[in-house]
Amino acid sequence: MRFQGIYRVLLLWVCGFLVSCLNDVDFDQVNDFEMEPVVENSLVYLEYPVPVVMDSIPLGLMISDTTGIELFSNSFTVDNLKKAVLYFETLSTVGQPLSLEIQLMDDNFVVLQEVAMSLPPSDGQTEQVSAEELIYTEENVEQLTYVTHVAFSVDIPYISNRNENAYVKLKSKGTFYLHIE
Amino acid sequence: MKKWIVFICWVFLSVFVHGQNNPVLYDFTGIPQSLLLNPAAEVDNRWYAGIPLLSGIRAGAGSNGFSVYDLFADNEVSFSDKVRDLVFRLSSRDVVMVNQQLELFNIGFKNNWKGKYYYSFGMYQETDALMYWPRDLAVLAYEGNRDYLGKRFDFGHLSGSAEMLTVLHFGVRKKINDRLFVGARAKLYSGMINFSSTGNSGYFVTETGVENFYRHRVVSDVVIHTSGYTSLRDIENDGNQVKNGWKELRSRAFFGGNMGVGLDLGFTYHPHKQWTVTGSLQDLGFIKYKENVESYSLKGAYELEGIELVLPSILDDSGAVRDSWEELREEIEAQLPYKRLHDGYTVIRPWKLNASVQHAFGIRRNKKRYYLTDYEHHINTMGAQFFMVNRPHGPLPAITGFFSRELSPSITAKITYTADKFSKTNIGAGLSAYIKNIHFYVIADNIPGLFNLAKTHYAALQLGFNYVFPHFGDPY
Repeated sequence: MRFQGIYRVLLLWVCGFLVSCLNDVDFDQVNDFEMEPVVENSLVYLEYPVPVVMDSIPLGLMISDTTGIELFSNSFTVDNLKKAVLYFETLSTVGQPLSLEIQLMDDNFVVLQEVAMSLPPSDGQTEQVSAEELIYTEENVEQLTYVTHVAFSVDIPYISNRNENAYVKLKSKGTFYLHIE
Repeated sequence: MKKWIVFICWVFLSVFVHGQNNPVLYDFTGIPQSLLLNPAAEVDNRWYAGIPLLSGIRAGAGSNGFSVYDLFADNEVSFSDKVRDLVFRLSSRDVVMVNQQLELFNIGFKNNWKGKYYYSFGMYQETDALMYWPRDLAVLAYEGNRDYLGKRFDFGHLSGSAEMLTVLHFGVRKKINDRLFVGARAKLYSGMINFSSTGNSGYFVTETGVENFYRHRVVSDVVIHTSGYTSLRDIENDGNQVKNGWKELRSRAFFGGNMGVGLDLGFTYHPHKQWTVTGSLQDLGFIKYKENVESYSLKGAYELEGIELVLPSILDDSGAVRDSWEELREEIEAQLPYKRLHDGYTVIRPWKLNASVQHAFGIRRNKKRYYLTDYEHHINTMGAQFFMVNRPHGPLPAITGFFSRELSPSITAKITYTADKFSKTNIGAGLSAYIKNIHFYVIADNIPGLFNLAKTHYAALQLGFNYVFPHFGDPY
């Protein structure tokens, strides 16, 4: 009788364990998992010391640089980028007005997006600042994922008064809103 | 991505937090398997043999900082919000551990009726895993770096190990005198699969830059060792992956090349006939992994403020398009190299310390023939136990109070209360029963939790069958 009692208790315990151990849970929820990290990155930058360049090249030309960049076109970004904001800022202490241009291009160097900025002349002490933002929403963010090259160009006017501290700077950053499932 | 989430959830939910602590079995000398926790345990029989594959089965489920219900409750809260809650609630000190054991065979016997020596040997398969919650990495993955400028995301939070192995062991207990027993058990480990990443350091931080808006800095000394993983990874996806994977693992279970040795030591001492003090130190040893090894290393440092444009096409008149991105990649790879290595490595087994002090009391009166009452045999035992397991971030201790009683000459029960870092409400119980020479035992930790695994932080169950030939006390 004693053994029967023990076995009944054990049987009840095991049954209770099996029936009640995972009540009120839904493991299929894992299919609904998503996370939305927001990543801030520096992009391209440039510091252009005007006097150094004056000694190397004839002024009055437009100079530019183009570089490859795979940040936007890698598979992770393509799969998960939901929206993005690119922010460009140019600064100048040059005594003449400047025209600057940033171009985002695809593999074939076709320009997908352009940012044109102009800076008024500086008195040599005050830093002139110009900023532009490119906003990519869910509707057009795909366009950014085709960007594989970035070009920066600036029109350097003829400078009569040499200012040893004159410079042109470019700073840029990107805010990337990801949606990962 | 979902597979990754499922894997992480599995790791954190199908675990037994208290790992290798087995407070009910320790010093439960009516169960021969207690010799595996203390080679000097006072197991008293002429010989015993575990029923192959059924003599010791231990399984558990649980988690440290959260329960299955916290994550998978069928309610209005979205799964992502539940995960987010966990990401911020758990700390890098939260640890989850898995320890599973399956006895393949287990035999013990006395050298003669006086029992000066008691030998025991056998083989068991063990899974031991531990992972600290990688909080900073989880926050970075979940939130990104935008709201964490200046915060160093600590790579040291990546810390864990997991291994499956078989252990061939031989132990001997020696009776020094009526008061003192000492024991030792030699172990031969065969590693089946191992992941190990401990002692990592470094960080990732985004700060205000000088040349550009931000400076991103990575300092890394991170290594992840694996053995036995690549051959599983390469198994063909033909619908029989699980079967083939298990076949691959089994091929390494017996002297598969990843060998190690270990030692258990223990004692039992009776300072008084009603008092007993015991202690044991388990798994002082190591395994050298050299088969099917692949390790991943990221060591170095790098600072980045973006891609610098230098207008060279004008300066050098080449007119060529520079590939600054490729130059950047090469520079990072030179200063922060990611390497795959195939060198062997050694893993120290996590040692475990057990200790107890107990007091025996109470006699069973023979109600029909009172003169046959055994006044020397006490049927109740009460005492305290201490357990500690060594882990990468330091030892994890636990303390247990227990009471055991012989319900009848063939049935003994033990109840424990254990408190440790993870739980202050762990009530366990064990039952050891003999039907003639067949011995059955069942042990449960955190009994209330067994009735609702979803809401509990852990629960564990162990059972087994042995054939025991008792020691009658007469010469043979």
